[in-house]
Amino acid sequence: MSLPGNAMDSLSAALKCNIIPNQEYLLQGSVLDQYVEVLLHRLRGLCDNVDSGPESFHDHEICFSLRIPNTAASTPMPMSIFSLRVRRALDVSDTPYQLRYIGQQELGDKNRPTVVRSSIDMACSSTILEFLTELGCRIEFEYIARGYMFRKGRMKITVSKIFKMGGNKPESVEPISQSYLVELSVLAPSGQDAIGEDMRIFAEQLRPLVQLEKIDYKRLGNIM
Amino acid sequence: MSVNISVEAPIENQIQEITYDGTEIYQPPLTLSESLAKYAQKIDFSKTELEIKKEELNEDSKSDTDSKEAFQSSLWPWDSVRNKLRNALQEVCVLADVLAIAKDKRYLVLDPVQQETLETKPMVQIYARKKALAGAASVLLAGSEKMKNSQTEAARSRTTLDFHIELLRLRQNWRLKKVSNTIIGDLSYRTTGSKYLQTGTFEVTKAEDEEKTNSPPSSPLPGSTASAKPTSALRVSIPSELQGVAYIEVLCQKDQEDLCTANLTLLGSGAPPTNPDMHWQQKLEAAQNVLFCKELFNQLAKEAVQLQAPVPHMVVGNQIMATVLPGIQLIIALRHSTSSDKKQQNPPPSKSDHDHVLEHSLHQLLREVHHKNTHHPFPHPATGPLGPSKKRMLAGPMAADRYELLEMTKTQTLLEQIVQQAQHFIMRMRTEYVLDTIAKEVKDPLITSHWNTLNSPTQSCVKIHISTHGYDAVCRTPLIIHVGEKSLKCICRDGKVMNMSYEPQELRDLIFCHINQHQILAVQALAKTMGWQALGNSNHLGTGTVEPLGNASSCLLSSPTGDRIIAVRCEPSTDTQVSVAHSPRQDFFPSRLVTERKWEHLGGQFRDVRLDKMEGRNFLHKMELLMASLTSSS
Amino acid sequence: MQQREEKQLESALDSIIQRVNDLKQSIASMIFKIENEYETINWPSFLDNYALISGQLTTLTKVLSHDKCPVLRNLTVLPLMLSPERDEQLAQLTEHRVTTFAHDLCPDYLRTKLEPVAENKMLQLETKALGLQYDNAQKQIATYQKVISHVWDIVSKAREEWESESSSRGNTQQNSSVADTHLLVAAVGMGKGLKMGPNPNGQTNPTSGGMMVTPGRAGGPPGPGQMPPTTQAMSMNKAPAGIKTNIKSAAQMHPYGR
Repeated sequence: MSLPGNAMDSLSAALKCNIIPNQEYLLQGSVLDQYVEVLLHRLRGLCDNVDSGPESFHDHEICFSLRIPNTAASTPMPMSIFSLRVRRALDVSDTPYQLRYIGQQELGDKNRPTVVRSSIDMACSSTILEFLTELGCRIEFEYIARGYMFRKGRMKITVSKIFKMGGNKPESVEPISQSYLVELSVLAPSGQDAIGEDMRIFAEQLRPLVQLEKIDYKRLGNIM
Repeated sequence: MSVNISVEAPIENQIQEITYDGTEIYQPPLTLSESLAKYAQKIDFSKTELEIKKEELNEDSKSDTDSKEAFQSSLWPWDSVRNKLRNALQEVCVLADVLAIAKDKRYLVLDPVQQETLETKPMVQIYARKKALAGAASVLLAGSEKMKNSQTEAARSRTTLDFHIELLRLRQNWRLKKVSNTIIGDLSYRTTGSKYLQTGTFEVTKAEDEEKTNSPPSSPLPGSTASAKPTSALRVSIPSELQGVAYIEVLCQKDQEDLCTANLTLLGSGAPPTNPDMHWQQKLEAAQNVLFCKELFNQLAKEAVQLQAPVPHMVVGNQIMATVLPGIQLIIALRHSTSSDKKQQNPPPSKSDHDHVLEHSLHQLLREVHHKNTHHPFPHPATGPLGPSKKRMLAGPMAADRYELLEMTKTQTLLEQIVQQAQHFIMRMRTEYVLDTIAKEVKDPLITSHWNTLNSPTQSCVKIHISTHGYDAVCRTPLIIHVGEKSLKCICRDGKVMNMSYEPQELRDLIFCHINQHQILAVQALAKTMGWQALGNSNHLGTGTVEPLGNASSCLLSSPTGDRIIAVRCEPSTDTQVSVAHSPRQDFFPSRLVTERKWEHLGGQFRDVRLDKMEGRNFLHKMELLMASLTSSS
Repeated sequence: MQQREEKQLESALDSIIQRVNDLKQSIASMIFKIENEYETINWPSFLDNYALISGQLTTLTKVLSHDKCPVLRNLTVLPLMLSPERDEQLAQLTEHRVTTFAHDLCPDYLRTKLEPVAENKMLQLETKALGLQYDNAQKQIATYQKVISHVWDIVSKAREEWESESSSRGNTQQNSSVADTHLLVAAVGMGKGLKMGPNPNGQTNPTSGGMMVTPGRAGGPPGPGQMPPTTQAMSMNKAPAGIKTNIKSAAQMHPYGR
């Protein structure tokens, strides 16, 4: 039974060698509904092999949170909240659910072109929902994202409409704004900051249609 | 009247009229345009003279005396301009001084006075303005006229296509970018997924300079210029390693001895002329093809070295040798002929026919690799990582084991794939050959084979019918043979599946066995139609001499009344033997064992029938005749 | 009143002097250029210099015809005193062109006559104008006015078009809204606006029903395994009823069967 030990060893070795893509480089923006066609057109021109048309997606995401009581008395917060996201495709069958942990985002200084946050994701089966609930996680919020995705090299660009789940009726979903969310992201092992520059250049090409920027969640929390 | 010199309105008036006067002052530069144009040529031709003048001028500007200016006035082209400007400067200086002094209020002051009404002269103004406008208009018109002229002139004199138009066309088909002052293009397959390191950059230049060097000698001969084909205004320069023509030669070769036998030339298939005047499109396409072939060969050579084949692959120079089947080699060679060494280069000695199908397959395989490199599946849900296939994504939740994961990572190299295709190609050829020769050798049961028209590069299928002429309704034996890469699979009439290796002899043996079986089965089927009864049959007869391959098969038939018995024995190696016995036996001799006459119903001695002496087109026909005669005689 | 007028005059004079000095400098620099760089000077820079001068002339005229500018026609230059002595201040004021304001120089500065060349031209024009009859002249003026106003219309229209075109290219329309960006990012990142109402005990989340049923919706036909709500009561103590049961149905529904 030395196998689990071996697995742990190889995992830590992989972590040490920095080959696990666990950093997400991210830029976000939005485009008004009436200009989304223009944006898609431009993306088709800029991105890799879209000869078969843009790839559409229709996903459902649920954010779970787990409250862990802090044992250390010195911390001001009695609980620390740990959130996990479960996402699944609604339009493609036979795809796994995806469990994802997104860490605190680092904005860095002005010279850093993108937000960097740690991101660990894994494919899992639908029992993950039950599993998380059994663990004591509870549903924080959920939404439907529907839109298109593109890729350019290692970069992934998603243009998605965010829908709010409508009350108790699962069929009624309503868009939460008159805009599409545009995200430009790359998943890479830590330390590969050069990709940020590529992303900045790409984002530059989408201006002024979309302003892809580093957005500070903390500041958003204060604004809204 | 006015003894007191009153400097008053006129000064201001003059200033106000400066627009009009100003236009008058503008006029010199406008007229100068002509003078400058006139003198421009002069400046070119009389450079030395000007230089002398320049020196003088330098002295002149140092001393700046009027006398020297006067001395120069007739010689210096800018003189009138300068004088007019000087006058203007003087006037402006005076104005500035007066204003400055007046502002100082020590010597002069501006004092308000009663002003008589100003007399306006509209016609004077109109004339002045007309003149001014006419001046401006003439300048504009002359300018536009000049531009128009030069445009038409250029259009008329332009025999070759415009560089920029050509560039536009080039840009529609090729990737270009501007690097400082040069235009660099890229003909590599990088954007479509190639990972080959060699760059495919080319440079785009104007073709003018070469045309200029060409045109003077050709101009005395009017005929030659007319016959010259429209040359492109654009020139592409391709790195030397991509020039010329390249192709990948693929050939399958049997045994070493064949290496030095045939010396066919292969010039016919490739090497289109690589003249320097080739259109850029063809030139670039050729260069791109060279690059592609190089990448392909490079990839194959890399794989050949890495792959652990039972018989190691050999890479020598521009040639890869892989053993496909024992005794058969696949040779892949990169043939690259540049225009420079074409003259002295002998056509590459070719051993056997170049396989165009395999060459095409190779191209296709590399393009598939390129396609795969760029066409990654998109993740669903959308936040998933880019790259892993859907199968990989499901591996976790499906709890795939190590073996399954390893299977997922396995990919076939190009060389493996092409070797497989070559193997299949050889196998197909061999199967065809075996079937054809058997069909030629064996006349009695007819052997027909139907090849499926649809097949994959590594799979094809042939259907074989064994039947006898005139009796195909009575009995036919179908066989299906799947030709794979290194093996054959035969599905027999009874549903048995036989797997065979690549050796053609095995197939041959199998077919012969089936011929025997067919004969026995056919005889029995025939007997049934004749009212005879099959007493028994065996496909694998244990008696008799040992056969070199398989077993003899036999059957026993009895006539409707049961008084005649025919025994048929088929041996793959020898011919069929047919014997006949009578029952009751016509000759009964009581012996110590068989004492009574009733035993005569046991049937008598079998006697061989000499089939070759019998009448009949084929075995079944003879058997039919034999049975018919035996039936009637009873 | 007078004070104000004087002040106005003062400031007008200042600006005129400034413009005139500008003009003077550019003419001087052009002369310098012609004298020193005539070999290397090219047409564009040559014409640029002229354009500069003509632009300065235009601004000068504009200053003069400005509303704030007092009517200079009603002013006269009045010499107050003459002095044969050299005046340093004066020299400084006039860049050493005028060192003494004496009798020999002063009249030159008080000249009212036009420049001979200009006067000549004016005279020519006047004589030409005199040769015309009044009616004829009026007619010519009228047609001239008409033609000019027509051309003016065309030119100003073209200019308007150019300007509107360039301005439309310059400022692009708004394609995205920052507020929407923030709204969306906050929603996706923190669930702002997606959480359904306040849920004090954190157990009865009204969205849970909707979201938990959805697996069945997408993964295939909602199976018969969906339990009726009445059977859920026993698992109440562990998790909210809706969640628990629906998870079960989701588990039954999961798309890749084992």
